[in-house]
Amino acid sequence: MGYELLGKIIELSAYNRSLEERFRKVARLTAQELGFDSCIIYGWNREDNTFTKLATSGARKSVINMYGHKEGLCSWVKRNRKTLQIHNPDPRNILWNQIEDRGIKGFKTIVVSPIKDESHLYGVIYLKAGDRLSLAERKKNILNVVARLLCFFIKCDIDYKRLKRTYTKLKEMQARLGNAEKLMALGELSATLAHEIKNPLVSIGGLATRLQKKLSKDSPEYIYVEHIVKEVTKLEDIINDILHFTEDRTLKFTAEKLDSIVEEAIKGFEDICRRNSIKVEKLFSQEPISVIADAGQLKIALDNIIINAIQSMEGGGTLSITTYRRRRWAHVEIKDTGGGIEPHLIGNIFNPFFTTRKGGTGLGLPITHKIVTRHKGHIDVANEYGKGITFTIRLPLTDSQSGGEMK
Amino acid sequence: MKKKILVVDDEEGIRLLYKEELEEEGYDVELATTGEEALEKLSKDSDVDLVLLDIKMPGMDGVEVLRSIKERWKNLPVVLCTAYPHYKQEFGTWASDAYVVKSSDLRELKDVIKDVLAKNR
Ligand SMILES: Nc1ncnc2c1ncn2[C@@H]1O[C@H](COP(=O)(O)OP(=O)(O)O)[C@@H](O)[C@H]1O
Ligand SMILES: [Mg+2]
Ligand SMILES: [Mg+2]
Repeated sequence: MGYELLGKIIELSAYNRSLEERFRKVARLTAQELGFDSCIIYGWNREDNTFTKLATSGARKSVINMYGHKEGLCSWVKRNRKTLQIHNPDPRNILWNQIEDRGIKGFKTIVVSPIKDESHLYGVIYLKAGDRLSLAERKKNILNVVARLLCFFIKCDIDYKRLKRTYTKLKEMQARLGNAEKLMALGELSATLAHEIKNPLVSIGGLATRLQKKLSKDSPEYIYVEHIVKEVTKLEDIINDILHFTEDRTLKFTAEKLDSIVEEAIKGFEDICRRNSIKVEKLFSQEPISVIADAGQLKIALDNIIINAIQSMEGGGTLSITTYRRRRWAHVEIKDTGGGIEPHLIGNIFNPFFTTRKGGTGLGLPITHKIVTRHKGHIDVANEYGKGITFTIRLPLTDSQSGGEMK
Repeated sequence: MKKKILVVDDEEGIRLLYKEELEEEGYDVELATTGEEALEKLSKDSDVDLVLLDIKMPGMDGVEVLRSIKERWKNLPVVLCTAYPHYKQEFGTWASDAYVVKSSDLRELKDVIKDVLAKNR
């Protein structure tokens, strides 16, 4: 006696049934075996702090669908993590030990047992009988084993769901990877196009500039040509972006002083900042930081971030650039006060061709990302919508420096 | 004495632009439309001081032309000039004396030419 019950429950785990169905069967078998009129299984829901009914068997009266985390006998079991057995002399009563529980109404014997392992509570088994009934030690043990098995079912189910989620994510990622391939193909196509367009563009722009020099500054023709030159310069910038993005050059790494590369990058924008009332704050590390880098490429990576920051601060603001060493990494932090980006768009900013700017190519950040990745570095983005964005580039220190830092 | 530059490019607009701009800078400018033509001109005309060479051309491309030039006229400076920003490194490190990315703003090109000529005096 008793072993059959456990045997049947164990068998349930072998079948490919839903958790609900298994719980229904367990509830029925347990009530029968232990001589109760009703068995309800509640699951503890961590997100909203409630016990929810998962399965019920037997008498239908006084079945509570949900308990809050401070309600009913469930909450006592949750606090004490052990089986509660009570006798209710007056079946009209709904109070025990100052705990109100409408679930006990109409029953004389109530047993509530935790479904738990060493660290977590997963739910409770709630058993009720109309008569006065006392559980023999043996039956209590059986109840404990049933609770353990339920715990096992639940944990398997959690693992199963997690696995399924991971699988779905993997599928999604595969799909996105396909997408990335398409983007790369698109990139290659645009590179070919860009190259073909570049040559005629250079002669248009160059010859127009010559024409402009020959015209008098106050003639209408001068203004027409000025527009041509300006627009051509813009197109050339876009085309250079595309060519940069798709290029597959080998980088030339040497030991470089991070601060001089950063300084070089900022220097190129000091004029623009002044003209746009953007204050530039430089907070360079006290100690020199040495990184293995392709200086020219790293500067391009920084340029793109700085350009974006400046563009985000049309009405003026502050551009802060900080460098420092932490653990094995050199850090460059570029912070603006341009209001940041709407939170639902932040996930896109490194995608090629994603842009919210009129005339943008959406290639600045992808280029930066590619360059930083090829330096074995990382980029972190902190977006405070309404305030601004901070981009942090992390690069590995040269070996000698990270060694010195370890002490 | 005026320095002489040989401009090699398959694009007519570019040849015209470079010729006029470089002449304005005080150089003599010779033109060639293909790599083959450039080599032929060089073998006849020994007083070219610098070659400005496009890379992407039909027929012999700029890299091949560069190799032939350096085999035959070891000390003749060659400046590569192309639409691709990324050849820069691959070629900059060997054979050619400088590398310029084509742009409608010719200031960089002129600076580079001046530097290279000064070094090869
Ligand atoms: N500092 C910033 N502040 C606000 N938005 C930014 C910032 N940097 C990047 N972004 C957003 O990311 C997008 C992509 O940037 P980027 O790849 O440089 O392309 P582009 O500048 O051509 O739009 C921008 O269009 C903008 O929406
Ligand atoms: Mg940008
Ligand atoms: Mg060409």
